[in-house]
Amino acid sequence: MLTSSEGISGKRGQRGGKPSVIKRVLWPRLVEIWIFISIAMFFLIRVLGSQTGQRFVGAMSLRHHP
Amino acid sequence: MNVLPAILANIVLAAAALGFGSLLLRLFPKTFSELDRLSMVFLGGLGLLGTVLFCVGLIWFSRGAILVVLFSGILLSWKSLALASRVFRSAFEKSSLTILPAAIVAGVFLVTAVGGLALPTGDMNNDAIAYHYLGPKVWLRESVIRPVPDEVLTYFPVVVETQYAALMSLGGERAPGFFAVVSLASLFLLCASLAIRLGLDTSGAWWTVALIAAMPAVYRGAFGGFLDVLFAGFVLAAARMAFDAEEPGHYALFGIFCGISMGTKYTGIVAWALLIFCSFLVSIWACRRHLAVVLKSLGISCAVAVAIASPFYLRNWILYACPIYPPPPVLLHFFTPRNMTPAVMQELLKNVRETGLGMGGSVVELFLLPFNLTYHTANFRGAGGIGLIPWALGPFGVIVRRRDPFAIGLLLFAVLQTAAWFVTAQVSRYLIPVYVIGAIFGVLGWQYAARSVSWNARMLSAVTVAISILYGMYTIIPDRMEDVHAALSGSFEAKRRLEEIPRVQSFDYINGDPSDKKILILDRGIAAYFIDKPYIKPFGRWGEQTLPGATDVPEVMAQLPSLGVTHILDVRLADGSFYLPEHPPGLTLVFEHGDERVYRVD
Repeated sequence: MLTSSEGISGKRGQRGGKPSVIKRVLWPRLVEIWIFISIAMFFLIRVLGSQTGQRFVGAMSLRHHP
Repeated sequence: MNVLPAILANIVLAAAALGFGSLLLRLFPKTFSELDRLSMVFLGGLGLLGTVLFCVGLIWFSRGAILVVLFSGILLSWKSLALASRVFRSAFEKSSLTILPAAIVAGVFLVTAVGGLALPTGDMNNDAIAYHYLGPKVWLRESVIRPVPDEVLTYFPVVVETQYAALMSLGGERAPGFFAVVSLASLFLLCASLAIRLGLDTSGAWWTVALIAAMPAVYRGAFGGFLDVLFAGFVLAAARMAFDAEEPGHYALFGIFCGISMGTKYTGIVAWALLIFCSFLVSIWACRRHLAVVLKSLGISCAVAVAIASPFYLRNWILYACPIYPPPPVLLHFFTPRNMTPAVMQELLKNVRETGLGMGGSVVELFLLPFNLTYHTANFRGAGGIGLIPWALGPFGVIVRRRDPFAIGLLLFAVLQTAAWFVTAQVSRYLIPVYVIGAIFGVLGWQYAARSVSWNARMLSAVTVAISILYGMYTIIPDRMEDVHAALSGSFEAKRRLEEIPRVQSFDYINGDPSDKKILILDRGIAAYFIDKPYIKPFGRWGEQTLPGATDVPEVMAQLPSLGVTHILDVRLADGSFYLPEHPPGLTLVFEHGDERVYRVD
């Protein structure tokens, strides 16, 4: 959908060696981890941290520790 | 059928705005697409229409005057209407229409349109009731635009409120609520235009608009009298011109949008200064233009901006001795504003401090701001938030567009605007221009992650988009359900009116009694918006005193013969007593309901 995107690590990444490893292996993992953590934080803070979430967690813990 | 005038009034106003906007067509760069032109024509037209209505209304603001202005706009609108039909035809072509985001946008419009047709309700804590709708109602009654002396916030610039007045005059009380559809449409058009300018295709533009539509913090600035969405549209249109301008005409257009922003809110002055600064930097360092040319071009922008905004500021300067009224403390060194007591200033400053506290003003909080705005938006009075897109995917969009001077300019503006917001008033809806920029970069980042990183990143970013939209809609739709219910059910609307409008029985009595010609309102907390008759309110909610020499109720009553009022509205105080004693001399109790009394002046 991008009509004019650019390589994330620029031209140097095409020459092999260390930049290439960064581009092919490390960078994608970094992107995935960043997005994953963003989603996880959302569930932790906005869902579980909400009043409804708190009530749900409270009810669950009561169920397991009557 | 009582909603039909409200809808028709908005259609007439939108057509008139397109007409006034068509005056700008010659100023656009040749590279602008039809979508770019339409979005700017519509926003520019709304701004110019509000300014023209204000200038005319300073002298004559009857329904006739409003109709003359609106029909002048409609006469000019044929070019813009043809442009609009071409843009919409191409946007809804099968090849470019993306069903899911289009359905989300349609859902938001549906809720906004139906909910916007409900009668306004509320008390003085509701900004629409307290001043956004009060000013227009009083102007129409008095056939002239003047601030309402008992509400100091009606001295603000009023590009949008003049349009509320036109809508009220033609379509009744429901019409300004429906205006949310117009303001959202204008912002969404601009968002799509900006998204495409930043490198997205039609599908990406649709997704950008859907994500912005599903941001509760953005949506909150569109309805209930709030004008932040339209203001954001004006500022972003100015930003678009700031970084795309090359010729003097383009810079003039940049100035027009800056002027309209300043005519909408005082914070437009900050946006103007920041945009001039950013445009200067981008022109010199990123576009390598000559300093003299840049300075001359920005001089044109500044002159035009000042000219467009001047009616609002000159009115205040001439009539109230200070161009910015109520003045910020620093201006008190240069001006001595009329009728401005220290108590009012203190109350206003206290309110700004309290409402704009956010999560603190330390450097640490500044750096944590993107995180806090994403995950703790309720602390900035922006419950529901902005979704995950700007935080989770925006950084990748920034990296993708890092060599584009236009993107650099927008980002620089977003950063500086956020810093200005951080040190002034941290209220979420004031930051809508930045949220829009964040969303566009978020979609750029999403497309990058989906296409160029990995399958996992593609899935995760899809989940991010889904969460943002679902959570946003989960917040927006229930928030408007009561309005939707009120618009669809007359009995519910009547019940809600009784529950949500304090003193409504007294208002009904006063409005229904033909012998009530002019009413004296003793309590500062009474929402005068609901009174259809001329009134005097000696004390405003910020401590305004509207009668010279009257600092309390006995002093007001001493002036009673000269006030020309026929009735007095009295209410019970917190200590159980009324402002007036039992059986006050010269007054006859004609209505009593609970804590409310109406007296006739004998």
